[in-house]
Amino acid sequence: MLRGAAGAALAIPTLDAMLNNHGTAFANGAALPKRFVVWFFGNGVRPESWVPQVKGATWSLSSELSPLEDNVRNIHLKDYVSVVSGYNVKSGLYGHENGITGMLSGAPPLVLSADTSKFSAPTFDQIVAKSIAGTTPFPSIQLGVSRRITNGPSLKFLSHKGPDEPLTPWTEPVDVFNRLFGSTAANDPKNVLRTNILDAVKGDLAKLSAKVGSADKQRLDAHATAISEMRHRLVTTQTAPASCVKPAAPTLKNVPVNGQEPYEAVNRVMSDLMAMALACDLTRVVSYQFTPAVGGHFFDALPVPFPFNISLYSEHEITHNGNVQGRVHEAVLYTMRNLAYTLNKLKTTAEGAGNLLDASCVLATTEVSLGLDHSTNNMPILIAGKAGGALKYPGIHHGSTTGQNTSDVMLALLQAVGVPATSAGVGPGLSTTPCTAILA
Amino acid sequence: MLSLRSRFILWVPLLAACEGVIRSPGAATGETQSEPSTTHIDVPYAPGGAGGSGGTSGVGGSGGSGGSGGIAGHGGAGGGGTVAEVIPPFSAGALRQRRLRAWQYKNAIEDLLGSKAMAAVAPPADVSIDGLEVLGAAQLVLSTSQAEAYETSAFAAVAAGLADTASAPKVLTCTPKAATDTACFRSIISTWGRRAFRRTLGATEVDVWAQIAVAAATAYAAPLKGVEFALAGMLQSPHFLYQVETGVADGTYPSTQKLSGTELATRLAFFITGHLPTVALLTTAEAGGLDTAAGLELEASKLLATQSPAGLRSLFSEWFSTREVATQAKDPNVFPLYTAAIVASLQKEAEMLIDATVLADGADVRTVLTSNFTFVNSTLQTHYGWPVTATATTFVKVPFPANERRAGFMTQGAFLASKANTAAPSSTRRGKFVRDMLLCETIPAPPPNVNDTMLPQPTSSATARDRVAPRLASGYCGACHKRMEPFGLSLENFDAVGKFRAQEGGAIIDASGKFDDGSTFADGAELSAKVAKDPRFAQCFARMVMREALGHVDGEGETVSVRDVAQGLSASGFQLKGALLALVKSEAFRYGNLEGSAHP
Repeated sequence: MLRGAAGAALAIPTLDAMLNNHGTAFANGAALPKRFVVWFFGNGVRPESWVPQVKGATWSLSSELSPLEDNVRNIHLKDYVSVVSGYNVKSGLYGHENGITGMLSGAPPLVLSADTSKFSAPTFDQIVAKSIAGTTPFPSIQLGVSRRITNGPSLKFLSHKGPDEPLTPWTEPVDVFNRLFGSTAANDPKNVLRTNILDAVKGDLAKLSAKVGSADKQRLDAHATAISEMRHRLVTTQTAPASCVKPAAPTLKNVPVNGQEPYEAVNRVMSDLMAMALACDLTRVVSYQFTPAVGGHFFDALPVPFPFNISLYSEHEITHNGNVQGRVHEAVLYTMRNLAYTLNKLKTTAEGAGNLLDASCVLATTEVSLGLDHSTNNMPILIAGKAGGALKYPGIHHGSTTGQNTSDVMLALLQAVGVPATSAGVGPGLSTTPCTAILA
Repeated sequence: MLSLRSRFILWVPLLAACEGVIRSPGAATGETQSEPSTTHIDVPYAPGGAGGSGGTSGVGGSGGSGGSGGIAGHGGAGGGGTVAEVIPPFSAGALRQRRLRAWQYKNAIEDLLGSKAMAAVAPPADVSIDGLEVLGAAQLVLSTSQAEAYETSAFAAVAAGLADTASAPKVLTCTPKAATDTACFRSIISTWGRRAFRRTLGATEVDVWAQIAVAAATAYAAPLKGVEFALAGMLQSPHFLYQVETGVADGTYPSTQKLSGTELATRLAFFITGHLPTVALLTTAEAGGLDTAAGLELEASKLLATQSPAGLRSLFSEWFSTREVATQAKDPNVFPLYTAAIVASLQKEAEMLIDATVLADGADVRTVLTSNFTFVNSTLQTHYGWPVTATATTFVKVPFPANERRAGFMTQGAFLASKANTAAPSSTRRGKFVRDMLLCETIPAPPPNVNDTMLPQPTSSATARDRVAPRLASGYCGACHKRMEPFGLSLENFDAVGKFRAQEGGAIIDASGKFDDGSTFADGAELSAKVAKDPRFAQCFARMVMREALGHVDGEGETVSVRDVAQGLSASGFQLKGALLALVKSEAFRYGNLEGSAHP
């Protein structure tokens, strides 16, 4: 018997969890769950090397997207991918903070000071989680590869339930493993006793909440919701689908070696754990921060064509140096090689008659288009997966010539994964017109 | 679009004879709550926006000349002279339930269950808002995974504490004889819980945790398991995890709560010692000993005299960027010898200076900016290229080498490496720190479409001063950068890991610049000395200690308390104790309101 989620029971496959003869649904008729993943990397791209030259179905991968087809690594993802270009963030022009909040929530940042801003609206992944999580132990999980995150909540974190509710990513592989797959015996009396404690804690929170100011009341009530989620995990027996195999505990530590973070190695482990969390239906929504917006990460392993006597700067510093944009290109290629690993992991994880990528919608994006000028027009948007048949396959390159709203794309993705949404975003970022070009 | 605002506080400290306090037009007290229409200046990024260091500082309270001008000139708004304004009467700031920060949580676990328990916990990391983790702790919501981390830590701490022969007897004030030994469970819960919750528990509260104890003891058929589960549960209660402050409306100020004695004891203890209040202090508080300003002053004096000021040390370490160096990556190609041992030693160096200056009994806090000495081990002596006289494990007090023109914490490696990029120093970040954090001005965020490749190329790229010249020459960028860069450039003699260099790119580094009052400084040491003497620093000092103690950015209505604290500091010859005793007696420390705003 598998155990997941701080003790939630993961039962071995039951008859109900077996698939029908075609492998397209559970034997009891329930559809395979859809999954939503936001795979994020910081500081933009080189748009002229990112955007494919040809639009429509006959497109080819651009140079920065070339790692998605890699014979050496036996990676063949192009058919699973659509690229969207020419869409603009409408909720705020230019800048890392306008970009990340506009892209991921369709709303402007709540600016507190020069160094700090919060999201003003919930992020789309949290909207999806609220809608499709069902009874999975984790409504969503947040994973991070680089730990060199900087600047206030909006640039630090990808997932926000609200302005004061950023969700911090898990960045240590063994912690991720323990949280998802850590084991306790199913009949451990501790589980019931823990629920007793959580009920008492909720009682304390409710009484205190009645005595505090309005802002604190919201915070304490959200704390109580968190406790309810923990309790749910303790009392729920999760039926593990047939594709669920408990992974081995990772040994890799996410710590710098000679000053350099082990991005590729951590990305592999995190991707593997994510794939199994999805396959085991522990969660259906993941935000995945490969590198943060701004941030202090740098890629030591890349060739460094510097024209004059300066040395290696962080990726953020490099994007703002007009003389070393070739290096930005290298960093995007490196990042796409890592994205290819993640996507390929989903594609090579079997589920039913197909694979996890068939059931998934993965949005890969960043917070600015060109880092150099902080542009938030023509945002880099890559969508992978079939979302259970809702997304176009084989994928296309869909380009807007009129600078449409990135929230149009987000609304289409919400609908693709089954959220009954008719709008996405707020204010100038609001969309009621989904980008249907990417839908099947 | 981002709202670009610049907010300054400025007033001239009063002479006793004066009736009011002079404030500059457009002075504001901070980012919280109400915004009277005159309290902010919108700064347009208009090219040519006459900005820079417009007004003269004029805050020189000495001689009662009253200051003129002030710091208004940012962006040219504000203009004109000063208008005398009376500080508004006290009105309380919002009470916010602050979650214990990770270091406070660990200290509290140590207090309750011993050092082995402390070593077993892994509380969630803190997030800073507006430069301070206390503000993040007061504003952000606990997520599910953080709540889980507290659950895991709670069980680990109790298991370790009860297995620790040094701490178990203190926790087990009785030994439960049976799974239903409710009397013993209640006794332990009441006694241990009083310290954990920083107040006496109500009978119903004790019942709840006693029931959990009985259920656990019964399920495991082991009486001690009852203690384990009750205590692990209490460590997840909001009464432990938050610094709960709800107060009592005593009618002194409308819609305002006076903090209870035990809440004030907790404020004092966490603020000064970084630990839970002692049982003795709680007893004093419950007997009414902290109900008066005099009582608070007495107990604060006792804490300062008898306890290690770990809470204060944490504040100053955070404020002076000592901790930041640990997360600031450096380019291994440029600094191949920059090791974790150096980073740890740099932090230790900075903390020892804080101990020897701000925290030392009778010391002038401004020495932290002006000291001509520092503390180094052999690791740092090698790193700095100084003669090695210490060992790796022993720090010695040494004078700064005269030729390096260092003085105070801003010339120590921890600060210099924190406020630097991966390979090169950042005059912008260093200068911005002086404005934002030492003078409590606010430099607005860069416009979101900033792209300095649009600027003309510098005529020389040898030194940082050459490279920022186009930025300063641009009216658009210069409006703000003229305020930051001259301060940051004064520290250009120190590279991205804090080592001295006389030249950059083959050119001699010019570290000189002009201060706000028009006087000049030759280098970072002279700038530090000017900042130390500036009344804005004393005021900023007051505001920073208040933010830590109160958990919010001081509001307009708390200006009177800011003034009291700043005056307490200067009247004591700039001893920390002078500021702190004024603070604990202040209205802002003792009163708060429960309305608050959703997003201060």
